[in-house]
Amino acid sequence: MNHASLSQNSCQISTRLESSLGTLKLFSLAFLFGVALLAAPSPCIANPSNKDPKAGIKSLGANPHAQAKITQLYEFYNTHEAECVQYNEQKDPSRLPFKKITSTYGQIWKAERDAHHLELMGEAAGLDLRKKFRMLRHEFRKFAAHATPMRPKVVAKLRQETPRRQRTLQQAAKAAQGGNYTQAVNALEKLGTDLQTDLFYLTSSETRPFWDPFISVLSPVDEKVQVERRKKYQGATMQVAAAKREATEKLKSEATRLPSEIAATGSASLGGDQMLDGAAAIDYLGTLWGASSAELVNHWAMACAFKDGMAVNPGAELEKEIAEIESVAILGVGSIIEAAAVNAKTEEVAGLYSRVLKAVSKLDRRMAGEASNKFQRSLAKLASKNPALAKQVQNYERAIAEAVRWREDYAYQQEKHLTQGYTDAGPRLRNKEPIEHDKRPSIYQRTPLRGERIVAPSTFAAPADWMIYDAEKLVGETVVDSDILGISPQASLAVARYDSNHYSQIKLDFPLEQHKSDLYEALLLDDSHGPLTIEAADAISALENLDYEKMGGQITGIYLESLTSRFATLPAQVHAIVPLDDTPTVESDIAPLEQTCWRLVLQPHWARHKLFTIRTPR
Amino acid sequence: MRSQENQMVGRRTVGPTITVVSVLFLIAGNGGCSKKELNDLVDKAKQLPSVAEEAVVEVLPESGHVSLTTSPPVEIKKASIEVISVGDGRPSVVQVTTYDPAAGVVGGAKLILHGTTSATSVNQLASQSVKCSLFLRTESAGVISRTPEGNPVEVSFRTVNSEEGTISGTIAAATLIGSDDSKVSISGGDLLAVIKGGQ
Repeated sequence: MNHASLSQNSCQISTRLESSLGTLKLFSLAFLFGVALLAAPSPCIANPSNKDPKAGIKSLGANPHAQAKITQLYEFYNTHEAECVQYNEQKDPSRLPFKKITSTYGQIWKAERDAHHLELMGEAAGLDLRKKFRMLRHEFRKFAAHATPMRPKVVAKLRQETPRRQRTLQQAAKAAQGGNYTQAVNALEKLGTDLQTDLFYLTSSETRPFWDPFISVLSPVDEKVQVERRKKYQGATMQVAAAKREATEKLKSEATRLPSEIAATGSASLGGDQMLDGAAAIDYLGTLWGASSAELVNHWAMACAFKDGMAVNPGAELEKEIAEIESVAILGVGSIIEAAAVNAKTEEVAGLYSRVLKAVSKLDRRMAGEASNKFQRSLAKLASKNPALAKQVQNYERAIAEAVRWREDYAYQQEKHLTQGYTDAGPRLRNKEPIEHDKRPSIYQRTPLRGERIVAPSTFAAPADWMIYDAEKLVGETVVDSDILGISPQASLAVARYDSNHYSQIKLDFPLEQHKSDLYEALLLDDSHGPLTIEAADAISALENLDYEKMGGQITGIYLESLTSRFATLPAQVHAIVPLDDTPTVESDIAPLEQTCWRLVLQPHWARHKLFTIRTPR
Repeated sequence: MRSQENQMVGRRTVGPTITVVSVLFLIAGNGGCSKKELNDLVDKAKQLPSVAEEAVVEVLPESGHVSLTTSPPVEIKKASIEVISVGDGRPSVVQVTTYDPAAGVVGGAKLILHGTTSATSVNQLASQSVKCSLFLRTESAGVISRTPEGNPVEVSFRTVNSEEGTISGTIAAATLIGSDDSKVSISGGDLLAVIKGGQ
């Protein structure tokens, strides 16, 4: 499948996801979507990035019409911004195409209102577009200085049109009084667009006799409409959010089916002729929990898009649900372990025990809290099916203790040596420092920027493309990120967990062979003997899953995403950027809709595993 | 069991009667003693404190050593060895440490050799070679160096001295990599390790 069509499919997939059939199909679709998410920017919709600063902020994903509107408005903005730059460079401005300019001027007025409408829909793109249209209108207005000869004619025209205008206003006011707000707004917006087209030529004071009567009708209608729209969109969005529970429902049902089948026959089926033993069942349940977690995070983010800040906690009901799902998953895993114990033959126990420890450790690394200590009783039940195992575990612990200790200390020292020249990613982004260059379109450069700015701020303080121009200076710098989790060992993809308004995507290329054989030696592993402690299991599981404590690398790409849109559309495949048992931590005194989420693309140089460090061969 | 106890305290036993008699001779040899005085001495000798039946002579315990031919040479005057079997068909671990694992790796120069073997006791290691990872820290809280992953060093065990409870061995040449990427060249080494737990 070539790249373009892959991304094309991924655009359609978002709606198909909601009606997909089985969980496996969900995963393969989500995987494709996830991979497309992490692939290079596509001809499809992408967020602003160093490769494409003019791209639009992506939609919240709740309203099926929003993305198309967003795309249309960004295209409109970019086209006319470029036009404005051209007009500004024209040698003889008195010969500018004023008919075209004034028409655009009117449309920009309408576009700014459309952007505000998007904001009411919980779209962060609306915030960005509104800012941009306001500034662009101001720049276009400057050309009026070269069209002063037209002024008297336009004033005369406007005066002549006043009776007709007044009738339209009266009709609109009547419609509003009758409760027909949509009709009123549509009529007023058409009138306003036409009016702005002419008012372009006038000075501020000259516009007042024509604009003030209009505004006095529009403003009260706007107030009513905005409240209604906000309520409508919030209601519709929360319905969409609450309905996203396919994986969650699957998790609940599988959490009972799997242990019951395993207790009866020793394995559980997974459609077709795929059979899962206890350990594979835990892995599978973990994947379902990940997909469910993504759904709950989607819900949380959609709710956040309508909050003012101060209350970014999930809300009592959602919080309860997240805790409930965690309970279901943990109980499910414990039940699977005990079910596996039921039919386990003595000679099978040790191998099963090792595989179960690995599966549990993988879950643990994806949680904020501790998982492994919740399964002690269940694990003891499994272990007891082989009376010799308890003593073997004791011996094993003693046999590997020193090998582990020295490797951990060595890796700790290596990390300290390796981090030299690498800054922590989070603080690097938040740093306020002199930013020399100014890549803004020339029309905006007439207003100077503050010399010291935050490189990649946590709010949409400026138009998105300006923020990219500033953040671009990070490309090429070396940073270290923490909590690296493999999301697709087959595709060698990993993410750095979300923290302080950023997360990272990484394509790994580490030569693991020697490290794997050294760990096998140290932990006494081979084809027929697995780890007998959770620590040893964690070590080998992390290596296999491409999970690392820290990673140092070079920033090769930077994307500016909206925090709310990012988490509202988080696909199952990338659930790992948020812990399974939690929602993202966000600043609570800024409206979530105004908060950014920076995605760094990292080229890995080195990584720290608990027991070793590894480097990309240069 | 007895030899094990004595090994732990690093003492050697000597025959029961000899010392008492030699003490008597010493005392008796200092001048003439009357029969009564001799009897008194015998009584006193019988009251000698410490171990009643056996006189124990304290000798400095063998603590073992590891020497590495490096620049500057590494000489650690303590080493013990144990073979740990898991008991489930896995190879056993052979571990030579210059410190007590229970106490931790604190203080000056420390070293560990850790490898796997089909032997199930230290005695069975005689004349055997084992590929080991070697970790070395020459200074307290200093840089740790190790054999590169996938490149263990060969340790050739020689003979077991059951009386002393030790095993000797040589360490092949190797290049250790420090945690700061420094290199330590070893042209060879030898060890004498005290066998733990009478294996």
